[in-house]
Amino acid sequence: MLTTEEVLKVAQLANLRIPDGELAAMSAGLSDILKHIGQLDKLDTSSIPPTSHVLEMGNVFREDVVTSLFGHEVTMDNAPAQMHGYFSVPRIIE
Amino acid sequence: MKYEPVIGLEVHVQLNTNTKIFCGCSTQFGSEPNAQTCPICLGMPGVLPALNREVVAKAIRTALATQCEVANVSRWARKNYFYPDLPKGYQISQFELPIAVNGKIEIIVDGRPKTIRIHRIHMEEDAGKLIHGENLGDPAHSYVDLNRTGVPLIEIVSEADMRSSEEAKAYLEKLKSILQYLGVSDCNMEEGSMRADANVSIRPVGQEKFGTRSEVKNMNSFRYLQKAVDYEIARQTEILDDGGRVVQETRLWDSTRNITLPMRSKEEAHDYRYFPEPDLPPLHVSNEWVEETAKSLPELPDAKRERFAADYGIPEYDAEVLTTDQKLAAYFEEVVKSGSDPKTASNWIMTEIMRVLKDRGVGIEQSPVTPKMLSDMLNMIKDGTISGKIAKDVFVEMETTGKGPQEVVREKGLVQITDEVAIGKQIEEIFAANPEQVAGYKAGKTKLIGFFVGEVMKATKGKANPALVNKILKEKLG
Repeated sequence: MLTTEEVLKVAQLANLRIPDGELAAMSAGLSDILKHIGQLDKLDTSSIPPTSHVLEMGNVFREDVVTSLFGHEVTMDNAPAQMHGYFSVPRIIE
Repeated sequence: MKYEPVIGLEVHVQLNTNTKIFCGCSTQFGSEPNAQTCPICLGMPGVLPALNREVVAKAIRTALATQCEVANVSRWARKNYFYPDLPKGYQISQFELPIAVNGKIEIIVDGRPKTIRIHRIHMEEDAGKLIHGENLGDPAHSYVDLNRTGVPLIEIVSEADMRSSEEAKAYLEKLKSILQYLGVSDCNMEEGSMRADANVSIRPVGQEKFGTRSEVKNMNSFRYLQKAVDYEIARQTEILDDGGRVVQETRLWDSTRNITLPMRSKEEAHDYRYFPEPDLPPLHVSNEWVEETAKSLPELPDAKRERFAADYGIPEYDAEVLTTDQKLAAYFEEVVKSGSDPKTASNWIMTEIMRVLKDRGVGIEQSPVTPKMLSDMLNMIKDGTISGKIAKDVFVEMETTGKGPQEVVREKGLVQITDEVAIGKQIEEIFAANPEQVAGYKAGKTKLIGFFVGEVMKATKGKANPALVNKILKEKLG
């Protein structure tokens, strides 16, 4: 069973806010999911190479040629707020 | 107590490809903000990244030049964090199974060679650029330019093998030199295409266990790196001497105050929850690809340095200085090929040419004195047309006017006087004007020869052939 603290930490890392009233249900639900996935631990995988990708495919390359420029205007059309051609966001302190 | 510093460097290098690592946007520096973006690097939903082959090719070149083992299979990972310069909410990087591991490069500090091991090299995408409010508009805002988002980087992680700030600087310089030889990056530190983070700790001399380290970020020059490392060593020494404990933390170099400061970022930022990138298949690099790349590598700085010392008979130090920059090395070889004595050529390049480049703030490729001009001038010294002293004036004239040495010498009437009769006549005049010195010399004060040579050179404005002057003086004073 996941603790409330663990659920809150995962939520914080995922930038999610969980109302207090839903915390208990959330930790129960997440715990069930982990338990379900945990069944895989019963399999003997010692002779199976680690899976990096679900598809049996190798290299997919692009050549180094400029193609997909969106352009400044189209890009900025999506911006909720902008200034001098930059996206404007709440101040980030470092 | 006496402490020993332990230093490791993580160096981020922007590869000089035409396009970004996972999309076809241009990587050109200095264009309008957000102009070089597309749905992929903007992190729009539903897009699929596609790997730029050239990024892999350049990573393999770097790996081989630093004697790393190239992985036949490597894979991509997502590094998850939220920050406005990273629109996807994750950076595509490599975590387990990077492209290369276990390399090494050799540095020379105080004439002594030392091997610095390389832990790993991995590929990743760069993040965007943030400008803080007051520099552009409202202090309550930050401003985001995503042109740099998705520009290819390699991160080269050293082992903690360095023991002084000088070694750290030498390592970074050597790395830069190798990368420039390879042509994989312009390594322009001011524009941020090469950035170093330093892990610094200290331990009592003789202790094997590492001390607690701090990581210093934000160093974009060799000088800042050296200063920041020295500052960290001093700061940690003071803490330990006062009986305190060093805190493991990330610090920023403040170049205006010459100190490091703790970063005020939140602790959980370090929980990146890496997982395999589902949008990109694993990368397979065949032995053939590696072998072909190995064959295409240029002569690297170490090999060139050894060849210069052996083939041209110049001192190790000269060879080291000349081969740090591939273009400087090529300049030297061009001068020597035209028949100039290698050591003489090296002296002129390391003093006069390097001074001019420094004064003008340009690279050797923009030297106002071309290899041809320098070698022609050196040949004029060799065949006695001008003296070494006059050559300095000729050099200055070549540098400022761009004229060749023959032209300068002709225009300024600087041709060396090699006429024995003319020199002899000049000497007689000097003897007549200085009877005391002549008598002195004859009485055994042979050091006065220097006085006479000086007088002759003064009278001929430096144009008399010094060897000839000496010879005639001795004959006459006999």
